[in-house]
Amino acid sequence: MKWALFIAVGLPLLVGPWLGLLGRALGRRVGWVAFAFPVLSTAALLWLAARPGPAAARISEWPWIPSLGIPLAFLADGLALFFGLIVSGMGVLVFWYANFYLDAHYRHHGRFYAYLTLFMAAMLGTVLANHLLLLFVFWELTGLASFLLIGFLHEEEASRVGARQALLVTGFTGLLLLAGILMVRQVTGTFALDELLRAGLPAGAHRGWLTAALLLLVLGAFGKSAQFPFHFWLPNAMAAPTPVSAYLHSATMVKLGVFLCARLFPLFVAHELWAPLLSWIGFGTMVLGAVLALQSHDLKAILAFSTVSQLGYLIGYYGLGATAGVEHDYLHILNHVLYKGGLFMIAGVVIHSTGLQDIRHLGGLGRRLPWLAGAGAVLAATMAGVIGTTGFLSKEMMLKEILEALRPHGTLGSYAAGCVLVTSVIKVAFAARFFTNVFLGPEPAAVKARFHAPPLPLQLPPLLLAAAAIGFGVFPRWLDPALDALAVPGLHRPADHLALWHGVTLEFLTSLGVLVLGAGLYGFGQRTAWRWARISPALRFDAFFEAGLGAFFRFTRGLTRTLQADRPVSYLPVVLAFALTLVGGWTAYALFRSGEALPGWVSEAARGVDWLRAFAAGLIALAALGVVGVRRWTTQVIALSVAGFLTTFYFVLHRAPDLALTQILVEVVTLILVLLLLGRFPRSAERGERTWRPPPGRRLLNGVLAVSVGGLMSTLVLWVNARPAAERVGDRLAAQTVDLAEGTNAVNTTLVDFRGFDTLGEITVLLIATLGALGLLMRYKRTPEEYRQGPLGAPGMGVHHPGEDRP
Amino acid sequence: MVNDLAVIGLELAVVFAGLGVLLADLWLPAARRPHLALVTAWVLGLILLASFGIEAEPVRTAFGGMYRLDALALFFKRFFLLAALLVTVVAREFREGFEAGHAEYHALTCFALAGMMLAASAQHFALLFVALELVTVTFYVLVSFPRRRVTALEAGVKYLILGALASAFLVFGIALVYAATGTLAFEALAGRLETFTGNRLVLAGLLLVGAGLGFKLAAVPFQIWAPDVYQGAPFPTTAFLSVGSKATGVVLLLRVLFEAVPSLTARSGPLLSVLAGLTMFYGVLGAIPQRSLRRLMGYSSIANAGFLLVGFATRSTEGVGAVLFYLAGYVFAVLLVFLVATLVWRGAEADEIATLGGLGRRAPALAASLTLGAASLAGIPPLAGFLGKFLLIRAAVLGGAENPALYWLAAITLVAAVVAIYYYFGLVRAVYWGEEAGSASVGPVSRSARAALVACAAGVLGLGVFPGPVLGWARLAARGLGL
Repeated sequence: MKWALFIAVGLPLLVGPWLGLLGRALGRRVGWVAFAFPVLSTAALLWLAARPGPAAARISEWPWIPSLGIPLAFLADGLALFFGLIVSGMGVLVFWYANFYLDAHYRHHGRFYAYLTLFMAAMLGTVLANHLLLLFVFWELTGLASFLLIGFLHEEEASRVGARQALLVTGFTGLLLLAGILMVRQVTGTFALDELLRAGLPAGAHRGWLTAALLLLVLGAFGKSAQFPFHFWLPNAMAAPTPVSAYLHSATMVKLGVFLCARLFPLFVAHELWAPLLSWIGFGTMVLGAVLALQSHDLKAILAFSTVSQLGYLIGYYGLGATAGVEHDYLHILNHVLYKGGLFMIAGVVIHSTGLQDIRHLGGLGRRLPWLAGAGAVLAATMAGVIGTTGFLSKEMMLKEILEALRPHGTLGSYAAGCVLVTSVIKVAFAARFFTNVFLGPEPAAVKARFHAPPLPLQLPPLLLAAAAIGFGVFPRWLDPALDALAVPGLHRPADHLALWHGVTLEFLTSLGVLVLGAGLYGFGQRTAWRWARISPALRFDAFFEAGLGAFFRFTRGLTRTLQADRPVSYLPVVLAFALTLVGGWTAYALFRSGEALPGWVSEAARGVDWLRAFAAGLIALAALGVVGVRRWTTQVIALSVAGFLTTFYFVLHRAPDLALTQILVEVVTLILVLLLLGRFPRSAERGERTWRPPPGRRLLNGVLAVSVGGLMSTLVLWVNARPAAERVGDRLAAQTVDLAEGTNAVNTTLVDFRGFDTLGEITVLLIATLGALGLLMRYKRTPEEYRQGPLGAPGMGVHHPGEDRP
Repeated sequence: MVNDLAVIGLELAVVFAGLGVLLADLWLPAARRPHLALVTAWVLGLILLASFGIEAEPVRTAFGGMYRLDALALFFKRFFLLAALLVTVVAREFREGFEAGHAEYHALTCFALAGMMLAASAQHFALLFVALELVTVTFYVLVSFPRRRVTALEAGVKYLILGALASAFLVFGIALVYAATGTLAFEALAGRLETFTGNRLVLAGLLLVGAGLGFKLAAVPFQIWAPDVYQGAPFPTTAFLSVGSKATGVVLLLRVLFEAVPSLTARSGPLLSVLAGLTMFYGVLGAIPQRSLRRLMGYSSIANAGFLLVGFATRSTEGVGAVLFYLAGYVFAVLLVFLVATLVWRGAEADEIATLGGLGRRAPALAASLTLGAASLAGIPPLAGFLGKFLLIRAAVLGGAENPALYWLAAITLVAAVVAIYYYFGLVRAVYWGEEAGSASVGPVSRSARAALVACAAGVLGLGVFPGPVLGWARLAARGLGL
């Protein structure tokens, strides 16, 4: 079991990326190497499906991140295997098809197959995952692979736009899915699907959580399955090479949303939002997609919109499902895979052989490609639901179920029935148009000029799909055992057996009516040459999306311009204002609460004031004002150093000789260094010197800020002073001078005994600083001749300005 | 004393490595000096290896409990060593941008590294301040190292002004804390706060300390310097700033919030959450219109500070573990981006993202590396960045059971993570789909750069796919904080 899973998922995931390298050596032939992967996966999955066993035995686990309790856990139940077989089975056909489609005109074959294999592995991982986080990781990986594949022809603008839309939409909704998963985990305490399915969701207190989780999960599904309002990305993703469109964007990846709905069905079907949410959106998208398909002229766009429509139906179908389960979901999905995959491949052959994509410029290909025309007829009939095809069976069941749902669901049922009928009529019309306007009628000159015969093997996959559509359509009995075997308890209830002929029932008559009406619509369209068919600007959601992105970009640019500052003078106020608000606000609040008063502290501090110290402090303040007030930088430096030396004096008054000594050393060294540096500034710097005087309002703000910061700091200092002093280290040292250090001079014992190492360190630092300064001075000693030339700047100090030539 | 020196052996080794490089530069002939970068890288690598020989249990302290060698300290020391090692490789590739003094650059890297490693072990405000200043002062020089470039000088001046302001805040805050409690040791402070609950002066001091650390972290509202300084500084310095300097802020903030003042942190209300949200959004929205790579990385660095703060806001072991893991993934991704950028621009002053156009054709391997780094920063599964963001959001959701505000934080984080994808995507788009920017081919990639590229790519991928061991270390380290 583990081996089969490894071959199905692990092998393509691990080995696939190396195809990119292999492609360099093999060129086009790398496609045949890649062809082995879907074949192996299909074989492994078939083996798994043939193995009987209870559900519990269908789980395999490898440890992955044990500390988070995230294993590589897979659940190979019927639903997973059904989707897995579709992915790998279509994979076989698509890889085959791609080998002939991507001829020598294309480049980077290795990269293409690496992406495609990666995509297949990610798809299989998503449908087989048992752990919800694992499911999410693979889910996003499919989006990434899809992005790479859509952007494969990145020289074209349309590819780039399509790839970006797909990535942004599916990536964003994928993250919503993650949020939903986390919420489910929060409520149930588990990520494991099998446990969730077994135990169900808790009711009661977690209602709100579950509703939010449901919304998020369903939005994830809508994004991936291109449901309204996310439907616009799918048609634009058609810029990818056609095999990619056939595989990702009709048969498999876009079905992931449907798959997720099927997975969630047993958990959420009883929730009161489940049916309305899925049905209103799903059936609405169904009609919207059909209308847009009718109005399109591009072959792939027609198919893409019809895919949107069918996906809407499938999602709405799960929405209307009875609590006991649904019956024919597999049939609808399989039917869609057969005809849509096949029609995409036919479109690919047409594009490949004529280079034309617009249905108005095509016609008469039936004479040149009779086999393909036959397949096209069958598949278009399947899409329209003509009797004898799987499409007929599907539509028959669809109508039956919808009519049954009329009663329990009331308004919603009527809405759904109306949507299904309208869509079916429109579908008949564009299916007929697709076939007749490509294969029948006169051959336009452009086709005649460009046509070159496609290789026969390229036509084989659509032929096979058409054969399957008609075979299963005529002998539905062949499908029954397989579909029954894959049924999953909780999701499915026992189904009626399928049959070609159910007798003249209401559904049959409706079906006939739909065909007639559809034919009428088609006839009208042909007579008017489809001139009215144009997608109205109000439905161009992709344009809205692009406009929204543009507006977002402009918004962020405006925001950044407003918030950014590139000069310290403009951002210092921001920083200071915030610090003031935070610290000052807190201080004010704390003072207010504690009832202590600032005036009290001031008067208390003033009581024991020493006038000499006050005089020194006043001089320091004066010098600081001088720094701000004077204009010339030389005077400013002098004022600054005056403030420094007065601080030294202040320390002396406070009987702190060591502090005073340090301060005076620092002051002297700094002053010398500053003067030295300024003296060596190049002339150009002096010439370029200018003073920027801010406008009065700004200066006022700056002044207020400066005074407030000063006031805040003073308040804090007063606050500290008003508190009883904590235990002072100095007192302890003074008390123990005689006992421990055996000396009577406290300063001496402090410096050489208690803090011997500190003193050693300080001396070392001073020594190193002196040596450094000496080194600088000696290195940049200039000759007398250079002195005569005036201040030139030290060697190595010349600053290179951009735009100025280097000397 | 000797025992103390043994405990700080790693730091001593780094300092001696720096001094050794300086001295070797004096005696080596000029032709062989460029090899000093490789020697430095090797030595740092050896020290990194040696650090794995050190046991975190039992916890050892030095200098009277000022310095503590526990699992958290070891985690960060290894992180810093790794970052410095990679930065040295980047600096070697950037050598054309420096006119002289390669050896000084590597020595300064070592000294800054020593400061960071000391900070990781700080248990005392004095050590915190000294270690932080060692880092900051060294960075003043590192930022303006290409001293003839006016942009680098401008960045240096800006960093100096704001760095000095931050230091002033910090030191004044420390003074207030001391004045209120009479101690600077974290453990003693934590003990005294229990009896000091009514003391509001401590809080004013701590807010100032937080402001000082906020500058290091580049968190709102002290983020404003980051884009400017990042843009002006040479590439290796920018890389070191965004990884090393930021992580220094992280570890110090962890130590202060959860070791020095745990009881106050527990009552800090939504302050951290609000700051995290503002920081994330300032970063991600600001990054979108940027055209210069370093400026983009500056805003991205702010956004990442916001993501890291989410882990702080949860105030849980889960959250802190997520922060540590996030950082581990972050170092690889950021260095990957800067390594590629350095290899493409080679010490030139320009770093317009548009000039990366066509790199996918000119140098596919470099383009792939850059994509990997950007994708990890954007948080694309299954890369390290995704798991980091996931862990942070998970921690917020888990914490939401007790503190419902964290649910909102988790939602905001998710939205910010989505917006972040957009601008990294712009980088990737330029690389693969951009207009061909000249035909300038990318020069040969040296063996050391290649090894670093492979190591970073392996780190980004490996941490995402096999996060087990690193996550285990991160959680072990986080548990030491006793949350």
